[in-house]
Amino acid sequence: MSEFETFYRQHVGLVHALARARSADTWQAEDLAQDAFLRAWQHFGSLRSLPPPAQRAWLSRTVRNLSIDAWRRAAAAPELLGMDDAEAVGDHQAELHVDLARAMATLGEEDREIVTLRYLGDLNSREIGEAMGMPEGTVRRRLAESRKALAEQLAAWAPAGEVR
Amino acid sequence: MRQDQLDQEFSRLFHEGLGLTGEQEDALWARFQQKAAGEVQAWAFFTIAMIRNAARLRPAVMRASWAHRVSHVS
Repeated sequence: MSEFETFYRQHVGLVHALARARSADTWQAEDLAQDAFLRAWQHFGSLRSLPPPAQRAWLSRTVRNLSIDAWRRAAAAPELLGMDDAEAVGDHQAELHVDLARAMATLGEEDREIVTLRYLGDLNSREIGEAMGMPEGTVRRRLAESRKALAEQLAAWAPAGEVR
Repeated sequence: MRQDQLDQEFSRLFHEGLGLTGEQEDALWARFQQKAAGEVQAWAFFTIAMIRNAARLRPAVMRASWAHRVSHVS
């Protein structure tokens, strides 16, 4: 396996989810994700030496910039969400997939990105702030609000009760 | 449920619900390789076309240049 393939497989889940949070449909999301990896491939000389959280932050910024470019080209605001139910494998995963998509749809675009970077990308608030050009405190506050909203939406999956 | 427990729970749900299966990952990697190969081909085509154009234009540019005219005055 080449070094780039290892890098691709390490980050493709996150990049795909970030693209889905920003694109109108599954195919557009895949294009966006693949274009982000093409950029990564072109810059792999410098990217390979970064630690994984910095690589994830770079990829997240690239997905955002590419989606803004695509949005400008299309001159239309992207809508969530087109998470293709058929893509999920197995009933349990399909149900969870749909419920997560619905819950995420209640959040704003930036909040979806913050939540994805936190829970799928495993970045902390500081790293998310660096990736998104946002103060760490703002990330914490928005994450807390999103967490509360998601806890209500996903009560069946993660019985939250009172979030302390 | 405490905030850190909820964080862990969401992390598990996101990986389980939005993560990719091995098959999905393989398919994406295969499509990426095709796309990258297409990019390389397009880049090579563009570069060759540039070199050909430059080679075609160069004699004409040289003939029109001041240096060429001066060197052929006498």
